Amino acid sequence: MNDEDHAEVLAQAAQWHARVLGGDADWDAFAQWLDAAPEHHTAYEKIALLEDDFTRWGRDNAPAAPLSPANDDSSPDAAGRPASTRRRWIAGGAIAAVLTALVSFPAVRQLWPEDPVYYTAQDAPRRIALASGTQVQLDRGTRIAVETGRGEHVDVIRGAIYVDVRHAGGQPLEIGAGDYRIRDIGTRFAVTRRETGVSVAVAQGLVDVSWPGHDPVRLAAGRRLDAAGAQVTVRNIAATSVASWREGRLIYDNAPLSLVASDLSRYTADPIYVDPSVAGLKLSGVLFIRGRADLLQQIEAYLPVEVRGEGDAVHIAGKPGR
Amino acid sequence: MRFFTSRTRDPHEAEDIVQEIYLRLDSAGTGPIADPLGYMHRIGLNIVIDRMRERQRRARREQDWSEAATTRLGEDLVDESPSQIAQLLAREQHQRFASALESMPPAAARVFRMHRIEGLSHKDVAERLGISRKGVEKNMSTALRHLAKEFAE
Repeated sequence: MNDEDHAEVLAQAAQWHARVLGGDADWDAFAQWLDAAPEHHTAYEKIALLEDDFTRWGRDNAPAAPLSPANDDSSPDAAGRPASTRRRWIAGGAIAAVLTALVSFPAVRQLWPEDPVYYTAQDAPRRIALASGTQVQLDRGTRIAVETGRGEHVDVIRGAIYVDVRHAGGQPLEIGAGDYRIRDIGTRFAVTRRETGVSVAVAQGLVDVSWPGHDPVRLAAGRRLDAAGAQVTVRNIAATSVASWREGRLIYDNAPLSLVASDLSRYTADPIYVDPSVAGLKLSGVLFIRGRADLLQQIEAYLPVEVRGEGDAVHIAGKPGR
Repeated sequence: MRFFTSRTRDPHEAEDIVQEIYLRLDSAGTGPIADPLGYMHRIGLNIVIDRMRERQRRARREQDWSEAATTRLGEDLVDESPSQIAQLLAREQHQRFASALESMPPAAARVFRMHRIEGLSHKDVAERLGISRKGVEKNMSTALRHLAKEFAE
């Protein structure tokens, strides 16, 4: 058996063991897989024993108090994680460290990553500072998860952010948006997560955007990438237009209506549906973020479309008799 | 039964295990169990792991003994007792686990901690992290793959 096959068998064994632990295993299928080849037994045995040993070791070297912060978005904490959690963590860690100092290195506790801290901006933009000094601005209707510990990681769950990176201690910053990963090389840029993909626009410096099955794409200042499924476009933009929502405006240069609607959905509670016949209409101009109804009226003024509220959704379709 | 025959490749051992499952079920008391079949399978797998570990321990004891004997054959110096060797092994294992954890992808390490160390179910981990149950399973499997890679000999 060559190395590649061996790695594949181990990967399958790992997957089976993950299912067994989670209570999701189809036991007949699992038995069939085990019986299919003797290597499957060996690989599963190895994984199961390693997991068991690692879990025992982990329980002896786990943080004493649960690390999960309250993640209460209603208590804004611009400085980072809620202070009470940090205190609890230090106190619990210190006591446990004394108890186990003879058999373990207290530092191991810190190897376990903490829970992410969530931030949401609803009706007004919000600015937070990460431990490294990096500034993250959240547009309305945006939710992110921040993970610190080994480098900083910001996950855009929905909406748009603008990042101003300051490197403290040379730790890299990574942004996640679905399958897309954005790595900075010291810079200012905006990331918008969309239902179908991601947009990344660079105001200064360089960023790398990567996603599964594709080489990273490097973007310089004044470049913008829009990825929707397999369709990826990179084009030039005015660096000053990046994340213009920070000034209460949305600036477009030949942007398809589908993309504009995806931006507008950050400011409306209801989903916006764009009729395929008008999704490709191009918009160039400035929209002012004042209110939801107002934004939709501005769209009607720019393009030959009609906006209708239907139940809990907004539909944008072609103007009748156009 | 059929499953444990696959698992152990030995019908007699499988029978033993099934008997032990019933013994452990008896002593476990009578709480309501959501998925009795899955529960029995998991108890059975724990027994299989316990037995594998016992075999491993036996092999190691024999190895310890022969290593200790060899040292005594040498000309001078320390009488290496098996407990010292065990301590050394534990220390080495500790360092290897620490470095494996350090290089584990953070998302996978976090899910492993929540599920295995803090004992949350896949469903609870999924809710707390805002990901799907499939996502939890994927992260667990990444963590296990990473361990296997780190401990490849």
